[in-house]
Parts: sequence; structure tokens; C-alpha cells
Amino acid sequence: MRVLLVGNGAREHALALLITGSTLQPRLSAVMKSLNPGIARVCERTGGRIYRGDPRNPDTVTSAASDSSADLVVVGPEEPLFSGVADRLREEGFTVFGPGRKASSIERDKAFARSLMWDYGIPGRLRYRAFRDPQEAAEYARNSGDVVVKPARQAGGSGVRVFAEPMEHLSRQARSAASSYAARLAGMIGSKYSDIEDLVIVEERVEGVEYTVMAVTDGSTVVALPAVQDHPHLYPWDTGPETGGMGSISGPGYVLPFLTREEYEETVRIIGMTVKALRDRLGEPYVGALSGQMMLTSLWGPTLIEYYSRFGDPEIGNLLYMLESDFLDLLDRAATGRLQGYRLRVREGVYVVSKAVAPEGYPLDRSRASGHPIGVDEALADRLGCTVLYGGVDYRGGSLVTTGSRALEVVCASSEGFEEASSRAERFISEGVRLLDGYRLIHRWDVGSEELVNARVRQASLVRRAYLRRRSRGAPVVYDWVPGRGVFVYDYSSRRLPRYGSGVGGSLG
Amino acid sequence: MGLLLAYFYEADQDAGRYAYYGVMGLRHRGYSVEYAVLDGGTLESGSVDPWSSSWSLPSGYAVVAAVRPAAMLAVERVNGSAAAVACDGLCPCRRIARILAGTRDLGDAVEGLRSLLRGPCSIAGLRSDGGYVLARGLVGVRPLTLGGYGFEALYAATESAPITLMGGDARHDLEPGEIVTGSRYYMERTYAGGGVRATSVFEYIYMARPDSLVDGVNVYEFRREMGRRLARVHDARVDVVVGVPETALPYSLGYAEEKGARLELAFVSTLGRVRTAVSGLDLEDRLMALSLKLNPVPGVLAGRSVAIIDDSVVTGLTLKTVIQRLRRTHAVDRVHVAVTSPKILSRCPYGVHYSREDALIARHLSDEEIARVLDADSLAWLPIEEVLGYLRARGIVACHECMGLRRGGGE
Repeated sequence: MRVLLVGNGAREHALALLITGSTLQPRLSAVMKSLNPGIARVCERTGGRIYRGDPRNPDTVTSAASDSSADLVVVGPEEPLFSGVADRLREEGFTVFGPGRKASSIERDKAFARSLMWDYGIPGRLRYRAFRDPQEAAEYARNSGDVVVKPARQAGGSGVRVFAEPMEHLSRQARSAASSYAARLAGMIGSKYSDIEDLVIVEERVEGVEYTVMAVTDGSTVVALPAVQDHPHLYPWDTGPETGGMGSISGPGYVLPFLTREEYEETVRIIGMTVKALRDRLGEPYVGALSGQMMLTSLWGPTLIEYYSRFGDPEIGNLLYMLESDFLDLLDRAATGRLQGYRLRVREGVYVVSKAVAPEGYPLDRSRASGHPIGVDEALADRLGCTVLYGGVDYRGGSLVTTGSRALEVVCASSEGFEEASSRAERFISEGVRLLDGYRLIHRWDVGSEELVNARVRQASLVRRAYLRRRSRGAPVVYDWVPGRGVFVYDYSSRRLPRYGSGVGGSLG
Repeated sequence: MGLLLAYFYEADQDAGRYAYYGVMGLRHRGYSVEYAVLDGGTLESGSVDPWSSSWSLPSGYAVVAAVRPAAMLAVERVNGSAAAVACDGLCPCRRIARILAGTRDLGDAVEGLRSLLRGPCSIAGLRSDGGYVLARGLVGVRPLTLGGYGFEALYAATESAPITLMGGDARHDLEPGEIVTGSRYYMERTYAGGGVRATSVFEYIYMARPDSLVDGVNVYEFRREMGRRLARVHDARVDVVVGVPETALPYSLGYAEEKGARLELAFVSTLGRVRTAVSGLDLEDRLMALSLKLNPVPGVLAGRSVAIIDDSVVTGLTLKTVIQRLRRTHAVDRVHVAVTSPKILSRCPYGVHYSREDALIARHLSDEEIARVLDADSLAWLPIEEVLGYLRARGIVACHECMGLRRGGGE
């Protein structure tokens, strides 16, 4: 099968490896902006071609698809989806794995995703407000407190800031910081993107344990993959700024040690309902990967933080060691609407740890993090039984240099536990990768550590007790009183989000 | 005694406004707080009285603070660079600050610090270039907890309550010898060797807030359980239990529960929570402070057999004053004294508390004599084995050098 892969990050490197494990004799070609050495190698080995060009450009991708006579085009990253690459390919008659521009709004447009969940009564939804006017956003954020302020448009996994107001005495600080950030962010997003209506979302802050469930769908049937936990904080012990993910753990089997089977299944139901809602709202099937970035919260249990219209990165890397099924066959069935009755086979008893390695400066100062020559000892990774996935690297002047993002991920699996897998990843990072100009690389030594996994188990059991107790009292109804405006009723059993200002008079109806 | 770090990754955040609450959460440890605030590349230092009615910290994205006594802040400037180090316990604070200020690369500076971090202290340091250092000395007597505030800030403090008061979550207790360094761009960890968590027993018994965890041990639960165990060894028939505010209250709960006696609120404090034993006041001031701290509630204790639960007996001064007052003006029948601390027999070699050895009543007198001095009908001390056993089961080989005549770690 001739497959064209679109994209050049670590996610696409993982996809390339998953695809070439197939019995369908794949010949892999790729459209890449920067030259990912891992993907390039797979293309060479399978007799495919490499097309250098912008994966976001529908013309570039379509001509590569024609040139390689692709039987299947797999679109990896979100930006090509947003720019309509999948739509264009379908118009030209290609079989495509990846949603069209409209359907990918589920990721691009955070306000769309949130309102869809309310309109269709999908569980696990948060209270939120979307704004176009920076001043309104600022005013609302000031009056709410304890909120998350995020770009209404997907912006490379950054721009999210949490303004916790866990205690009354900190409210002034949190509110004024949230307010000024909301206004600033609205200005920034407005000047950078023109493809969404609202610029900023202010939503309720929730606390709990995060995890990701990725699913493959043909628009009707949803095949859920094992749960994976990403680590969005830059530094160990869950401290530091937000990143696209500094590592992930998965296993054993479908659920993680801090998640119950029921919680996993409930998450899969949320994703299933969303796929159905999308089809209803947009009038076209959602074909591709849909990933739910979830949090187990005391309000709801499984709660949706945001959707990705693609596989998660680094989460997809964990699947390298978890799937028994033929992954290309799965993608092809999804792309051609043949998933009904499909059964995924997952390896049992395997613990997988993935760790990202980034140059110092990521993500706060990307220019500081780019342009450093990098040396990678892949033979060491092989000896350790681990896999290297290249991400933010490119060839310049014949040598491999960093491009400012996470440079690579190393994935290790173990039947003994996370700790053992983690220690091999650590060994690779300390001995097998360095920046040749002596610049510092950063990674999280705690991903997969017993200290961290145990902390999650403890936290999850507290959260679980709280949400189960809440559930035993019926569907959650949350009452907010805004002085001067009245009472707002968020009834999670209904589908209506109260309008701001509708509470005047304070009726509890 | 005690230190604090609040480090925000974005320069537009004002760490001082958060650290204000962190300092409030540490002020029971002393009477004066020394701080340094980093704003841009400028390190500004000063001191405040956290018990005064109005004080604040300057603006800046990072703050370190130390609570006097038994902790200090050293600020050194070398060739245009500056470093401020808060040291809790005994270590060469000025030298550490000088090395931190005078070494271009923070990693190299840490190499130079390794040998200085063997002692009984913990440190939090800031450099004018934006680097920070957190370390717990190899002897492991002084605890240090690291925490986070969302994606915004790194926090550290001697106990966990100041971290939660700043809106954060406690995430990791430093191990003895553990050194964590970083800036907004990175975080690294190294070790100056390994040691046991010889956390000062004084933290659990007396010093930490009951809403804190110290080295992962819930201070409130520790105290309530020790109250139960104290009641078990105290041979006295008791109708009413009263605790001396505020440290003794969790113990009193456990004691009353075990004795099946009523717990009464019998004293009302007019002061804040400053520890009279570490307050650095002179004798006259202390006596005044005590009577403000322990104003009896009328009518609660008349004709009763009362157990007074007190958190420590150093000189016996606190208790004697209280007992005299109860007998004289409140007509109690019997007064039994239960002390929620093992006997303090010697000075703390690490400066965690300042007690002159000639003023330690338990070092010089027998229990019978002490009871007579205090004018008490009976006297019981919290057995040291109970304390050590409880903590050992939680991974802590607590330092109790002031309670035995031998070095901390063993018995």
C-alpha cells in the first residue's frame, strides 16, 4: 500500500514506525517542512519518496499525493487540517485519514467545542465564556476569579494560563493577573489568526488528574486506544510553565494505575457522543483521530479539557509498544468507513514511558532553544531496547540542529513497571543525546517515577470519592451568584448555558 | 527558623504579593523576617516585622525569605552580580552567598557549594541573573518542601502550609543532600551525598503549624495521636482536659478522647501565635506575654480534676504561672500536668531552639521535684520512644539531640 504521511514531527515519526509495522507492505512517502531523519529513514527503507514543502499547503500535499500515487494519505499535525489539506485531497479523490477543515474546528475553535458539548448534552463539560472584545474578556476574568484563560484558537499547545484563586485572600492578585492576561492574549490571538470568531476563552478552573484518550473513527464507529498520561509541566514534580508535553506514561493495558475501567469507558462514551454530535452539526462524518485531553475532576469525574483533531504528541509514541493490531489497517479502515465490528488488540502487562528532550529556552524563549547542533546515539537506544522519535530538529548545512521545540522523545517499555522503563530512558538521555555546542538539554527525570505515579493514585482516589458522592446526589447543578447580576444556574442535566446577565433578579428557576 | 522561596517564571507576575502570605504562614516561627526580592536583574533586600499591622514586600518576580531567629539571610555582591541566600539552621551562609554571587555558571557554583551543604541546614538562594538554588543539608535536620503554583511559579518552604497559603501545592520533600537548581529555563538536581531524614523532632512536637505536612508527616495527626499515647501513660483521674493554646490543642483532643474526659476551652489568647519559647523576649516581657496568652475562661474548671496539656516545659515558667492562677482564682480541685514533649535535656546543637542548659528544668530536677515546683498533683511527659517510633514508621529518623544526651539519629 502506498501511503503518504503529512508532517515532520515526533508524532509523525511515531506514525511512520507504526505504519511500517503493517503486513500491508506499506511504501511510505512523506511531505515534510524540515527533514525529520527518522521519517526520512522509513521512507528510504520502504522505497517511498520525500517531498520537501509546507505540509499546511493543500497544493503541495495534493501534488505529492498524485506523484506518489497514494492509496492513503495520513495527515499528522493539526495545522494542515485547519488549512483544509484533507478537504482538498478528498476533492481530488484521495483516501484520507484526518478530518476536514470544518470538522477540525473541534480542536481549532475552543468555543465551538465547548458549545457543541453543551448543545448536545455531552457529559464532562465545563462552564465557560468566549470573547472577541479584549476589554470584555478582561472584565469577565476580573469578576470571575479561579479561571483558566486560554486562546480560543489552538495555538500550538501554549498560551494557556491558570489563575488559581484557591483562597479568598489571593483573589485580588489572581483576578488582576487574569484580567490583564485575558486582554493581552485577545490582542495577540486577534493579530495572529483570522480563522475564528472568538479570541479568548475564560473557563472554570478544575483540578484533578489528567490523562488522554485517543480514538480512531470513521465517523460512525469509534475505536478507542489505551489511555496515556501526558506531563504538560516543563519541570519535575509538575512544576514549571506549560509545554506541549514533556513525557507520557501508559499501561498496563487500557487503563493507567490511577484510572478505573469505568472512568475509561465513560471517557470513550464522551468521545463517541462528540463524534455523533459533529456529524449532526456539520452534516459530514468526522474521519481521523479524535483525542480527548481529559481530567478526572471532583465535579464530573471524567471531564473534557480540550479536544485534538489528531493523535496526541507525545502520547502516540507510547502506542509503539502497546498495540498488537495492524495500525495501518486500522487507519485505512477508518479512512474508508470500514470500522464497524473492528476489534483492537492491545498488549497486556506492558508499561511504557516516553520522555521528551528539549533545548534550554523551550517553551518560553524559542529562539534561545533553536539552532543548536545535536548528537544522538541511536545505537545506544537500540541496545537499551528503546525507540528515538525525532521532533524539533532539521538539517542545516549537513548537520542536525534543533528548531526550538522538543528535539526528540525516547520511548521505553517494560514488563516490570514504569520505574524500570524510566531508568532506561534516563540512561539514554544522559549518555545518548547532547547538544554539540555544550548547550543545556532539559527533560523530566520524574516521568514514570514511583513518587509521581503514587502521587497521582492518591490524588485520583480523593477526586473519585468527591465526584462519586456528588453523583449519588443526582446530576450536578452549580449556582453562581454575581453581585448585582443575580444567580446563574448551570444545570448539567439541561443543555443550556445561561446567558451572562440572565440571572438578574436572582431567580433560582 | 524557617525559609521561603517564591519564584515566578514570568517577569510580569508579582511574587511579593504571594510571598506575603507565605511569610504570614511562617511567622509563628519568629519575630522578624529578612527577605530579598528579584526584580529584573536587581536584588533588593530588607527585613520586616511580620507581626506588625502593616508591612509588605517590594515587587519582583522572585522572593527568598528567612525567619529569625535560627535562620538568616545573607546577601553578597561580587563584580556586579548579587546573590541572596536564606539559611535555616547552621551553615556558612555568607560564604555560600559569596560563592553563588561570584561564580558565573550556576552549575559551577553548586560544585563549590557541595562541601558547604553537609551541615544541619537547608537553604534557598537567588541570583541576580535569575538562577535559584534549593538544598537540604546532608545532616537532614532541617526540612524543606518544594511546591508549584499552576504553570506560574515554583515555591519552597520549611513546611507545607505557607505553600498552600500562596495558592500552591506541596509536591516534593527534599532529601538530605539533595540540591535543586534552576531558572525560568531549566531545573536540575544533584546530590551532595545521601543521608537520612533526621528531621528535627521539634518541628512535629512544637514548631510546625498543625495544617502542615513536614517531610510528608501530617502534623495534626501526629499531635492528636501523641495526645492519645500521652494519656495512656499518664496515671491520673481526670474530669476535664484543657489545652494551653495553641500548639497543645490537637494533643488535647487525643488526650481527652483517650481518657474519656471532657475537653474544655479554658484559656483565651490575646496574642497571635508567636512561640513564647522562641520569641526572644526577655523574662519580664515573657511573663507579660504569658498572661496575655492564657486568660482563663471563668467558671469552667471550679471543683474539677483538671488535666492541663502543655506543649513543652523548658523552664516551667509558663505552667507555674497558669497553675497558680487556676488554683488561686478558679478553685480547681486537682491539677494534673501532661507535657506533649519529651524532656528537653540539653541545648539544641543546631540552634533550632535557644535554651540555656542551666534553665532546663528537666535536666536539673526529678519529676517529683518538678511537680512540686509547678504545684501540680501529677506530671507526665510524652515518652520519646512513642515519638521516635511513630516517625520512624514514616521514614523519619528524627533528630532529638536536645531530648537525649546523645547525638541525633539513634537513641
